[in-house]
Amino acid sequence: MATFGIEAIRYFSNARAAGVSSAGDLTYTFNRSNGLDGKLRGAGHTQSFYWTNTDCFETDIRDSDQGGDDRNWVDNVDLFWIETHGNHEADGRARLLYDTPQTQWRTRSNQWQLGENWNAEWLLVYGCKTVDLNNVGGIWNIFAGLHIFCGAWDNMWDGITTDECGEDVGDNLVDGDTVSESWIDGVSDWSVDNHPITVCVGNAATWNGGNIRWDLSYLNRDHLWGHGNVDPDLPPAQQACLLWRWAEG
Amino acid sequence: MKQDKLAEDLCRGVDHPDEVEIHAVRAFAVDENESRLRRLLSVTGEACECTYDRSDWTRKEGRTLVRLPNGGRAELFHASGALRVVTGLEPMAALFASVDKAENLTRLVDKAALRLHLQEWVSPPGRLEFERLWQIKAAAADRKRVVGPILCRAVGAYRQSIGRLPVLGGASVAVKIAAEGRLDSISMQLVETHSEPVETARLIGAEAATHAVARLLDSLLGADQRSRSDLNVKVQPLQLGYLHPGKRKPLRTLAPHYFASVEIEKEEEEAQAYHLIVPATERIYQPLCFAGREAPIAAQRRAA
Repeated sequence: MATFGIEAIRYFSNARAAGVSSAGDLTYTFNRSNGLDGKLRGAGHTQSFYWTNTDCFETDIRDSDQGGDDRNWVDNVDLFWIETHGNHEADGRARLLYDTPQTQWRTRSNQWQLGENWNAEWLLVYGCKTVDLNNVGGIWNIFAGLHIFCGAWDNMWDGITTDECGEDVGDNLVDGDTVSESWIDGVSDWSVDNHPITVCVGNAATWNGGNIRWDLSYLNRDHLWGHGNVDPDLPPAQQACLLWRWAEG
Repeated sequence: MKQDKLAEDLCRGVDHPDEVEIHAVRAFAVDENESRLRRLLSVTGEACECTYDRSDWTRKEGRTLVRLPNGGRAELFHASGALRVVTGLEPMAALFASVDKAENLTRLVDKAALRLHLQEWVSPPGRLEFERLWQIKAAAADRKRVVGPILCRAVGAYRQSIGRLPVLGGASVAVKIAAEGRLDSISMQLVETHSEPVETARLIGAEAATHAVARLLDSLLGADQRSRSDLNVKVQPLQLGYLHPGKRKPLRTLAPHYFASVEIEKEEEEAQAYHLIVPATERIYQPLCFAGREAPIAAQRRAA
């Protein structure tokens, strides 16, 4: 079975007061994150941590080699879910906002390196625009054994009709859907304009000279531990390509 | 963005009736809803040219979960009666040969909807109409070039209306198809009302609703952001509709609400997107928790 960690930030009053961001508070953060938590624990998976609001630190995802503490948090669990405000930089790096400067207010994905010698397989971010659809390669560096990044290429909405997304993703994962499908289906209600995307790395056989073997990709093969196949980690030396799948409407 | 500009944008082109009907929603027992799920499995099986005679039914945590052959499954959500059938196709199997035009894909999902006899699931005063086409695409790249996109799935979203108003929330019906119209999944969150409305209620005006939306937005952005003058606030005109609160919540009454979509962007900052809903009647017919849940009680984290 899997271990998982959750970080969820609903209030951004400290970031606003410090003049760091004008980001508003969210409303249904904990409907979603509590929902995922309940579904995974209900299926026998182990919650390693669940930090909320100002207890969420940017150092938790920052690589230990870069002054962070990911080996004890994000890179120490199989699946990590975070909900906060997000965006991407002009060079394609993902960016997330925190409500406490521990030690910075924001994290940028050039400081993430997940799955190295540690655990992380799946990173799920419920936040806006973490992937630049025109420059997905901007987050390639985060895959140091990590299988799939589940994020958004445009907005992800906070509203009463998206408050069940955490439960939907959780149900999909434990019902045996692939991780990619669990995310894209789970956060989509095919009405509110959510824009999910899943990104993974592939080896030379998957790239296949540009004639992609989609059937071999993590997008097609990876399930949550205990609910289907999980492909082996793919260290950077064996990574030949990035593959991504998204919903648009 | 100034308050009056927000109100102006929210009200642009909005022409709503003075009063609308309030409907009582028919509640089904779990057994009755499981019969509805059997009916959906039967039409899905016919549409897929497969049989779902062999299946494993379990009830747990507010759902009935049905395991089907070939990795498929079906679900019933007890609170709302929402249904879903997933045929078990691998997500990257049965890919479209090319990214087709939207109108061709819409025709294809409409054909699938016809095979599933969707219209038979809605009785007067309800009706069901195509709302929006979604597409699931994929692409890949090595360090030098990008390959794709390819089209994996097309999703037809259909919207139920009762009388003059749509039932807003997640798609009332979503039909997901693979290449050649092969069915991937169908989900339904339809409501069935009693034939006669409970009563007719007078609507609060759209202008009053915009003030309620502005108050909600102000509370999210903090009092110091009241002027919002340095933010790029983008809103869609208010939508009026009945509110379907989701699969996992019971729905006893259909009452009108105003729906506002607010997007906020500021250079060098995070993007924000809020879907704000306010009741459209003075009397509250459909009590809902608009406050959101709070964090679970957890051990306080170590000091910095």
